[in-house]
Amino acid sequence: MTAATKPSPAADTEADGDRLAATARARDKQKSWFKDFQHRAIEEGEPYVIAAAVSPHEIFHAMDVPLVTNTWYSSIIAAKRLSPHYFDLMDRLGYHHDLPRYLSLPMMTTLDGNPEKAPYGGLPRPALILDRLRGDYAQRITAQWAGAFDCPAFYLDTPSQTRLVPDWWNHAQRNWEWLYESHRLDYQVEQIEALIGFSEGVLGRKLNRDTLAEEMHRINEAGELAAEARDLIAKARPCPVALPDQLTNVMAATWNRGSQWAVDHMRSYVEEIQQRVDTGYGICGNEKVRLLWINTGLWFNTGFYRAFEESHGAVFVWSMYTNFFSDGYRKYFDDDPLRALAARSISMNEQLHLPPWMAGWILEQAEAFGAHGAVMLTPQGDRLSAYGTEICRTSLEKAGLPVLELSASMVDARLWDDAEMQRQVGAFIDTRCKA
Amino acid sequence: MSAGPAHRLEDIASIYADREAEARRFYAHGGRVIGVLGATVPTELITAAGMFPLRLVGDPARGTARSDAYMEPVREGYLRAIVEKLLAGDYGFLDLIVVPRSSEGLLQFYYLVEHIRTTEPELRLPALHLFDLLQTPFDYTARYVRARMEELRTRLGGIAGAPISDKAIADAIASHDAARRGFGTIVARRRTTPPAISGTTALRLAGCGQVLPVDALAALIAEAVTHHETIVPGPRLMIKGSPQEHDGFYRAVEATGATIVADDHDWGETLYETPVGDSDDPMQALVAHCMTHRPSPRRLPQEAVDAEFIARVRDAAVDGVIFALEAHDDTLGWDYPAQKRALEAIGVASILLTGQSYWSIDDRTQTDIATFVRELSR
Ligand code: SF4
Ligand code: SF4
Repeated sequence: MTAATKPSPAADTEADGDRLAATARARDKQKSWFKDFQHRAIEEGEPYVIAAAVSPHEIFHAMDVPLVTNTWYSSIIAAKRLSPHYFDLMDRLGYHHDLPRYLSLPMMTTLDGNPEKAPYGGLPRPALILDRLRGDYAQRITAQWAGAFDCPAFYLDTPSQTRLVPDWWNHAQRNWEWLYESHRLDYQVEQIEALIGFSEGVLGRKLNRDTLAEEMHRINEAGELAAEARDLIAKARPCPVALPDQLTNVMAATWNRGSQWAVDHMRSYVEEIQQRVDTGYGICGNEKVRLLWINTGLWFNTGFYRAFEESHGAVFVWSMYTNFFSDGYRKYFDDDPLRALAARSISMNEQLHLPPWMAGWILEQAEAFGAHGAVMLTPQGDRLSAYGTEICRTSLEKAGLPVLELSASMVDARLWDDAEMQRQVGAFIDTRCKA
Repeated sequence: MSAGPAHRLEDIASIYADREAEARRFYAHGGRVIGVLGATVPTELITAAGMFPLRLVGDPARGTARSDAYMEPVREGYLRAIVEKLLAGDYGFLDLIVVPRSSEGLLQFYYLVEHIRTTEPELRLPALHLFDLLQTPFDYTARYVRARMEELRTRLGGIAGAPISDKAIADAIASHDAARRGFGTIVARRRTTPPAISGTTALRLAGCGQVLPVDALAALIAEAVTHHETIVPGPRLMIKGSPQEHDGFYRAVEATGATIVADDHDWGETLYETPVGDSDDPMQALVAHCMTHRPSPRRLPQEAVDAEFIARVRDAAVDGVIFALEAHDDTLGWDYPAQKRALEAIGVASILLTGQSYWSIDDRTQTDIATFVRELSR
């Protein structure tokens, strides 16, 4: 697929010169989201919620309650290079070195009691911390954090999938009742009802279920547009949109899911990609090798995704954020938005991390995007993120997709050895990814 | 189920050393054996079906040559060791393996082995059953677990060839409770001053209870209560933390002159602590017991679990607690700082040993234990 292509207009300008206009709008949206959150929750003291990344935010969106995820605050702490300060605190408090630290950074800002140091002066006491009990340790962090805040915690338990049908993505949008198993959905709906009752109590607001239903329909609409964007990018040669742009745009729609903004934004994103496809525009004029990025995103170093274009003609064309919103979030329903909402988060992590679900989905992407190889990032010293990676890697290799596994710390940007990582990926492209 | 040959006290070490022998004998005589993992499967249902519940245990001497192709090195040692045996064909005599969802490692074990089983049928791995035990303290969770336990009961009945009656379940609960009460007498004997039973013997006996028919266990306990070990008075310790599936760690600790008079992990005395009790609804009693009274890292709320721990420390008049956490622990370490503070508040010493290997005890651990015991002896 070495189609002769127009040279990129980025060629002689700054590295980000081929950024989509939509990307700037997505960033602005995140900034204005934060301003709004800061004003309402931090300055005005409005009740707000801290929620796990994979949990039904839709309920709080529909109640117009400010919400942050613990992972968002962790990423801010890491980006501001404050992780080492909080690691020292963890050591002093007796939390041993093997413990995965990413999720606990926000709690450490609270235990530290030093608002001068914490980003934005630290998070104020929330009305509620919502957690989903994947793994065995999030519940511990949440309980201790809620204790430090003296606020309530609500736990959503995680009923387990008993059978893993190979092609979940073909069933996840319309056939989810069958896919996720009715007994699990029944239980999940009961839990979400309990969460709604509990939240209405502590927040002093009522959930309007019609508003929730409208939001759920808009998520499907935005998801359809994300699917269009994904198909355009998958088919186009050369690749018209850089991975960092894909990440920023789709993540903004995911975090603001349910809003009209997300629908409008995804529409303008699709239109811009379509224009690029129509003119045969490619981000790398010398595209020879197409790569997938598997697992955790490299948030603190998105430039890495583009580091192999000039040197190797290798382009990262896909990561799970490209179409997880379209494949994983869309849940069509007739009359029961709550059950559709239950279906959305019930197997989110399994779809992304469990063999055979993970491997099957990635092979589907490799085919659609015409990928020559995949780079898989596994966080160091993080058991939960490691489960299943071995069998996923061997399944992909068996199916003919070369895989390079990189292992790195996700919490301390200082430990990322860029030269060494570039060397590994470069060698992988040279020796194993033949176009 | 026939109790098989009567065991004598001297047999504890040999039963413990080959924890599959009794089940294999049962199988050789035409019985059906159901493998279980962890401490939270309602084995009473297996007993009630006239089958043999066998808790699976890995063998550190066998290495991980086969399992390494499937399992990341950060996974739980005991689970890697069990997969090694599975892949080697050791478990062909099992009709089913029941995997409870009482830790993430166990859940991931289920998905992994189920994947291997279906994609590599030539390995002829035994069938698996996921018992989706959830442990949040809500009514709707208890209803969910009840339904999962009814499914398990139906599946076991199918294997046994006849449905399992309520009466059979009530009888099985009564037998298991009798063994639990019997184990209580063993616990009382390890608590005396000086202790009448070593920690190593108590651990082995607790382990035998996971691999013997319940009546045979009761008989063995009846023998053991008359047994008396001469123990030179030394520091009284509790072992807490990751599962102690083998006795090497206990032997190493007791070789320093200390005695382990209590433990808190899922191969120790807490397995037998709380009876299920009589009930008009034995299934419901089992649900409550599995959710809250069996050793599991997902029990909630943590304050109640910690309060039990401190009560045990006091009850056993412990001088020191050894927290032994396996390598790559991502769970129990979060509990440790608060537990350490609670111990300090009552003047009990403790030591934290992280990075413990399933396969062997390293020199540094040996030294740390020896130093800790020496300081306690002063
Ligand atoms: S190879 Fe790609 S990155 Fe390099 S100048 Fe050409 S278009 Fe730009
Ligand atoms: S990538 Fe995986 S671990 Fe990270 S937030 Fe998404 S589901 Fe969770």
